[in-house]
Amino acid sequence: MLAQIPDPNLRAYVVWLPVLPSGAWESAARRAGGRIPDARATRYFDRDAHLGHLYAPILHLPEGLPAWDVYLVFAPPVRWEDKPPAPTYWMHQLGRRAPPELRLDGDQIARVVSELLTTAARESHKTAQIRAPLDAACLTPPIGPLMLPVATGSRPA
Amino acid sequence: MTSKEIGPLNHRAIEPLKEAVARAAILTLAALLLLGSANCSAPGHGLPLTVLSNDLEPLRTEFNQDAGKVRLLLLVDPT
Repeated sequence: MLAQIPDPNLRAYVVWLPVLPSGAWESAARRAGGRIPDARATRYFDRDAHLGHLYAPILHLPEGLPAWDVYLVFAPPVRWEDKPPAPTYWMHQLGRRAPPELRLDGDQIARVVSELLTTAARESHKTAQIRAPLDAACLTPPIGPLMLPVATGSRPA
Repeated sequence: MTSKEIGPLNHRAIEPLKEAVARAAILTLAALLLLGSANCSAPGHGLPLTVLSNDLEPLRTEFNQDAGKVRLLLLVDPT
């Protein structure tokens, strides 16, 4: 998806977490990380699958099932406060254990991301348009009575 | 005792010392490499992989620093 969308306003965090009973997850994560060379992506390893357990109730997954093989999208204003934030949109590869309408569809998730990027760009353009006259006003020195030329001396006859 | 007598003796004494220094250097390098691989951001295929702490840092900080951008969070098993 990153290759499909070259927008610099897109960031990706890939979190590898151990779920399948195969062991050697960290070395596998290092190998897998090499397959995502995009500069906008950061790679993490969550050795206790902590994030997976935190996201399970947020995504309303069945009890005991950590969130994994899930793809979460966040709109620009979303911030991570005390708890991980709920995604603006998400998809999964969890089969029947998660909503079928959210089963991973690369085109669909790319469409959602593109729409969010377009909206963000539009908002940013609007803000710039609103700010421009304000900024110009700030640069112009205020004209007050003190700055008006003072007539000195007597008028010529 | 002349300098001729002292020379070969010193040479023989220095050789083991050189070996010890070389061994210590190799051990230090190995220790540094081991420390490096235990570090959070050890490279894998040239790309860094950061091990998350229990409070999920530095992911949380990076996520908030990137506010204003569209962000994707992928949770996946590496195997």
